[in-house]
Amino acid sequence: METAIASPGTEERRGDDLISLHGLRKRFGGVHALRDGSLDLRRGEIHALIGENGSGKSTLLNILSGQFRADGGEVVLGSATLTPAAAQAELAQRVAIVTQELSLAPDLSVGENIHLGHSKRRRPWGIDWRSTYADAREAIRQLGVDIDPRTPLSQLRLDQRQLVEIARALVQGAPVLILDEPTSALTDEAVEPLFTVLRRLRDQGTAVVFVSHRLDELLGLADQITVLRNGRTVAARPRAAYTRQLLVSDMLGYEPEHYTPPALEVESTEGILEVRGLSVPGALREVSFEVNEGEVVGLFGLAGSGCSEAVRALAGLEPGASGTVDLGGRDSVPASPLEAGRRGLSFVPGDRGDEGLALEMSILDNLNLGGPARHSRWRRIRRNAEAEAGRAAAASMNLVASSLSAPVGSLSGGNQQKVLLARCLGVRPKVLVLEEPTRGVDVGAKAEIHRILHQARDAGLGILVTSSDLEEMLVLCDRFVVIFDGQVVAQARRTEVTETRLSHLASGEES
Amino acid sequence: MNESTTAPAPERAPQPAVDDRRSAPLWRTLLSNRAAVNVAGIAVMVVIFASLQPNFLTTANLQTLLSSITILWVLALGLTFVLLLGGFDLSVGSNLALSGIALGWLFTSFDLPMVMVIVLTILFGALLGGGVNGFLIGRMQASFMVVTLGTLTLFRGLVNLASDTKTQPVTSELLDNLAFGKVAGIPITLILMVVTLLIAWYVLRFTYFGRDVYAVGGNAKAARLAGIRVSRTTVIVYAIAGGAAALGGVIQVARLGAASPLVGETIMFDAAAAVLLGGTSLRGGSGGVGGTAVGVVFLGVLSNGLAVSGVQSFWQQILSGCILASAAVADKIQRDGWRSLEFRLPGALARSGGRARADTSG
Repeated sequence: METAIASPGTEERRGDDLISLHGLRKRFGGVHALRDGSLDLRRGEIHALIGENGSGKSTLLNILSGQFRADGGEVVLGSATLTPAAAQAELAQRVAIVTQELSLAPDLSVGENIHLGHSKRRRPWGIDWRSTYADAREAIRQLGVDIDPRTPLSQLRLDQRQLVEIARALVQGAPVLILDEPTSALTDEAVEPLFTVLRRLRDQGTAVVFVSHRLDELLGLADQITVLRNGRTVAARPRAAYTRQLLVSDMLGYEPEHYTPPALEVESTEGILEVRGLSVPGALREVSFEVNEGEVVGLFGLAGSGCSEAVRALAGLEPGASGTVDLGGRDSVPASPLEAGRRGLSFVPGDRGDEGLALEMSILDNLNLGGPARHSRWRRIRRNAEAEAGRAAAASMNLVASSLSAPVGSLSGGNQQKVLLARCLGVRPKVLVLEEPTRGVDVGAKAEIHRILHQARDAGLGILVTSSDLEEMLVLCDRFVVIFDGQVVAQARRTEVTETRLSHLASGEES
Repeated sequence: MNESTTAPAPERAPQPAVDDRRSAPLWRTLLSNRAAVNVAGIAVMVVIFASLQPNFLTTANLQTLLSSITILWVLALGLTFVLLLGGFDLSVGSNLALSGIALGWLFTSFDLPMVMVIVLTILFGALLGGGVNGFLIGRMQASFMVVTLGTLTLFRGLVNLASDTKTQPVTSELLDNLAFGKVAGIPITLILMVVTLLIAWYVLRFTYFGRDVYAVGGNAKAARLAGIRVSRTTVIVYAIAGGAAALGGVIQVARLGAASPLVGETIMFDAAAAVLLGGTSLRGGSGGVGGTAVGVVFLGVLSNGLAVSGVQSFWQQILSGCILASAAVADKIQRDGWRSLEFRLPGALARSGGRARADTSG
């Protein structure tokens, strides 16, 4: 499988070329989303596509799957070279895509979902259910998993739903399968079975295109890696030619300075947030911990362990929560985000598009959302003061934006996250609570966000963070509270734990 | 507001230039501005009607035009708040009628000065909107469509109950002036329209409340997390729509010289059409009262011009229906582009898009 690959455009490749994209261009309005995108897909290969947010990855994938039409470039299908316009319908036929937002109907059964939109099991009298389910069963069996096709989809876990979507692509007979960040929402235990399925598909001759921000898993899985940067394909090499470092520098276009967190200088014992007996029905039982001034505490646990419910309860988003939350003056669990904010707790939600930002509103408006908590709502907005504060925040956050009046939705994920963070820091909270602080954020912005958080910590802010990214937690946190099955199973300083030990603790293997 | 905020890149790393967006050409900006397109449409209509009908551009007709759109104007301004919030209010027409009946009752039953009666009527309408619709939608978290569909019928039933389906004459000099009077040659209705527009525009554009409305309409979850009182904002917005409907009811009574139970039965459709035509989105969070004002004038000119030209009224309905439906499609194209449409030109037309190497090998 190991063929010599140089930079795109010059290579001579052996093997069974399935689809090649050359020099694709695509503009949206005045924005060049893609300037020179190339990709060579072969049968029986797992092909990783990587690049920072805004590098043109999704545009390239959308062209590959026939959803967008490129403005220029060429598409080679087998032996035919076509214009993007001519190839579009053909690509839509041959390429199946599984995105983060799964396109399944939750109220239908697994079997119905697998045949959704392309049922060949029609009979004059209606649908032939028996063969529909038999086909679905066969498709699932090919993946090497066991799911009853008659189960309603809504009863499946997220990782199982992903498999259903893959089975659906199999039934369509698409020779190319794209998975766009399939692991971002999965727990660690669910990732390995998915990879097994992908390897099996590869061995059966499918070309798998895999996108992920997690470099390590990508290096463990891919046979071939293509790197995009600023809308251009800048490198395409076999996996063996890559080290992690080379991959990162290809992606960024420079050698990143390794971000080493400044160590905690003075250990404070000045408690700033004290949580006692926090319970959320069905998720969390009697959890107690505290956060001191000037430290970052990591709440770590597997998906479903209750970490997310814990931080959301503190933010006033879990109406059923009980216990005491002491933020200077013993008190109950905040009943609303407004109350949490008034008591000095600011919350950065994990899903910024859904809960964090009003994407159509300007950056400036988003930085100041919720202003009336401190003013009468009928008062005139002090635009000049807001603009000034906004510029200062943008500068300190290193925000890359054309103008503060641009809609926040036009920014890259990393910059959107910075806007959200700037707003939450801007209210000068005593405690900052973050959920997945860098989900869907590229490597460069991720390090910057970590730097910003450590600066805030050194200025005396208490920070509580929960993230499914263990690597991130190890960089970010000074102390860990490990949660398993809704209960605290361990507390430890950063210096006392290793990555392995943390994962063990989080799986409930030691106590 | 064109400050450049590209922070100076630190020496250690070149910033990825992600946001190299350039501003679109002027014609595109104008075309994407719904209000500009509508103003152009109004201008074209005025030219056509004026050249076909000498009666169109007369002072008398322009006054007719003005008074025909006053009620719609006030109602549509209130409804704009609701749509910006991402909601809808089907009940404004019934609210208008019920407020009119309330005015008649206040007028005949109590010996209050007329100004007082008007103020109480508007408060009554605001209470119907905020206390009933707003309470159920904002506090009880009920669906706005179902709630206002219910109050549409409920308020209309109360109208008939309270009025015994009879029209109640209301004679007052103040009301008469409100509908037909002039100050320094300017019709009072025109002044009223300008003042209400300015107030609504100021509130939406310059106050914290206005930004809250856009924020809740844009992303209610994010608004709540940012500390905005979403349900209180909702109650206030429906109260504004109710108050605006009641003001429309006051003007209606003034015009008729009576409180009639039969008014406002279809006005909600016109008001919604004007708001949507003005570019405020049903999804909430984008649009504004300026567009609504233009939308009202657009519909008013269309209907008046056709009436003056002697075209039967059902043609007005057909035309304004077509215009609204096309506006919906134009809106979609403008937002997401041609490619987003689930519509392809048939056969030969589509194939002229070109096949194979034509542009690479020649």
